[in-house]
Amino acid sequence: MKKTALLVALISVIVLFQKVCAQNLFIAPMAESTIVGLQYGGYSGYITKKSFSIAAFYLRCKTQSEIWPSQQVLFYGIQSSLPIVRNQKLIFSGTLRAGLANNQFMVVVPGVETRIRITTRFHSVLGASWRYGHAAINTSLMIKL
Amino acid sequence: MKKILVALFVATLLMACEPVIDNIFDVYTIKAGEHYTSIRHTEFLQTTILQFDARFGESAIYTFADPGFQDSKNKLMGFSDCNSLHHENSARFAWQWYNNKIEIYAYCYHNGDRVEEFLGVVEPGETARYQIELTAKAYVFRFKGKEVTIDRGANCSTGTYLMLWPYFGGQLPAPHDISIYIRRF
Repeated sequence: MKKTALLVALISVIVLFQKVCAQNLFIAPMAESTIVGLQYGGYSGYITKKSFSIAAFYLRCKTQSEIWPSQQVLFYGIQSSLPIVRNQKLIFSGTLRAGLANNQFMVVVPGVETRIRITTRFHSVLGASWRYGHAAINTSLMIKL
Repeated sequence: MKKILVALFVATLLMACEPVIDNIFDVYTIKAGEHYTSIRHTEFLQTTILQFDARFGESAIYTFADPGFQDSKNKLMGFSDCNSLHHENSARFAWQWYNNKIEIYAYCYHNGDRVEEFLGVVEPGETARYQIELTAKAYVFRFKGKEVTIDRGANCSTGTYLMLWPYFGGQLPAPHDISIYIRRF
């Protein structure tokens, strides 16, 4: 009985893993230049065949602007990307990030991004968003697992 | 492909329009007959300190026909506290043209009750620094070396803190166009 249960569980995990793989899991190191300074981190999630993606992200301050010395240290949460225009090499998407800044402040960040296919596995991502009331730019390398 | 290139071009143009950080003074204009400013967007406080420089122009001088309204507080800038509406729990700087000076106040709502405290004065054209620090139990206002602490009413710490922008009134709208220059940090 135990063996059967284990076998069923193992098969389920394999099937589930294959299904999840079909959705394309990815990780992406990321850097973002904002008015308060450079922030770095990454995000990880899954992307569908139609290039819609949902991921968890994490950013922290690398440097702080002398002119805008806010105490922004952490920003983490969920982000999603919805394709607006796409072809085989490029995908232009709208993005939305929602999460907590400094473990306390709920923040929603709208943006846009362009995903450029380098190889099947690697995509370069350039994005712009609206943070702290000003434009911010970011770049990341999406690696499909 | 063409659409993507056009979108990239527009995005590049928009990024190129970002002014030099040091010179960023946003101009908030309240039109005659209005309460709200021209710039008013949804933004969230993201740190425990709200700090900005502000300068009032000559347009901040006004006189109401009924002098009883002259001490109505106009709002400068601040934030609503954790998941609260601004008339429930919030902290803002307020100002009024009174006794031929621009008077600056700490202006808070504490569980629906208004709390005001005088901080100091500025002249039209003078740039001053304003700071509100959010601590676990209080708002700490700092202005021209003076520090005022007012208790917080909100009973949560994690949530939405909406930024509050300049607002004229009180009850009466702006008698003429009023411009306020703000540089945030």
